[in-house]
Amino acid sequence: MDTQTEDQRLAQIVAQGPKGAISVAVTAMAIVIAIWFAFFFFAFLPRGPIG
Amino acid sequence: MAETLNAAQQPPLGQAGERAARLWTRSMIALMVVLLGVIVFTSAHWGLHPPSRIETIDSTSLHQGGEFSEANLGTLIAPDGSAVVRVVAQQYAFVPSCVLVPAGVPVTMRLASADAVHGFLIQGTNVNAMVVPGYVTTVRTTFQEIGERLMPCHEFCGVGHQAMWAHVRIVDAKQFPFEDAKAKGVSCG
Repeated sequence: MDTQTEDQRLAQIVAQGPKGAISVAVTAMAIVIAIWFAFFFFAFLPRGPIG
Repeated sequence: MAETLNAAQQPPLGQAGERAARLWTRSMIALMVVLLGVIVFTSAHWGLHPPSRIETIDSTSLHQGGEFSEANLGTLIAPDGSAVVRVVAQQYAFVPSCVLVPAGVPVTMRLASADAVHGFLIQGTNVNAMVVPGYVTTVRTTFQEIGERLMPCHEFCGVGHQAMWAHVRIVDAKQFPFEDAKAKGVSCG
């Protein structure tokens, strides 16, 4: 594959945006936040207030 | 196989990439605001704050009188109707080893160490603090569920650490000896 064709392909891919990276990041973040809220609502709150 | 591009050769993000980066940045800021908002709301709603303060005491003379003398240990009912639990942590036991508290009544736990650094937590609750010699540890909570909970030492305090634990017995307020507890500390062991 010559350099020009490769550059064109690269430009096409970049123009589409980082969909894969966003999917991975959103999924990872959603898992972490779900675990955070699960601990908050199902462990921390039922254990009662302290001060 | 394509050569690895160095930083100068990296392609620009492009409009779609820049949009995605902006969107991600805004999303993360919004997420941080939501999480901090939840924490701030909970703290304000519950009056939640770190469960200790700087209050000093002479650990070498706990047994000689004062707040942590024998008659004061256990649960006392304060004039405002709340319960004050005083416990001495020492190698390798909590005194008293069975704490009796009424359910649904605000409880202030005050602990002092007679020797090494100890810690305590009450199973199934958010009560969890260190007990450092020279300081009084204060934790306020309200036990809602009747039952018995373990209260182990959670700071390694010596060779007998694993055997250092107490019980917290939470009883119905009707069964709690309020009148006795106004005069001296009551406990269940």
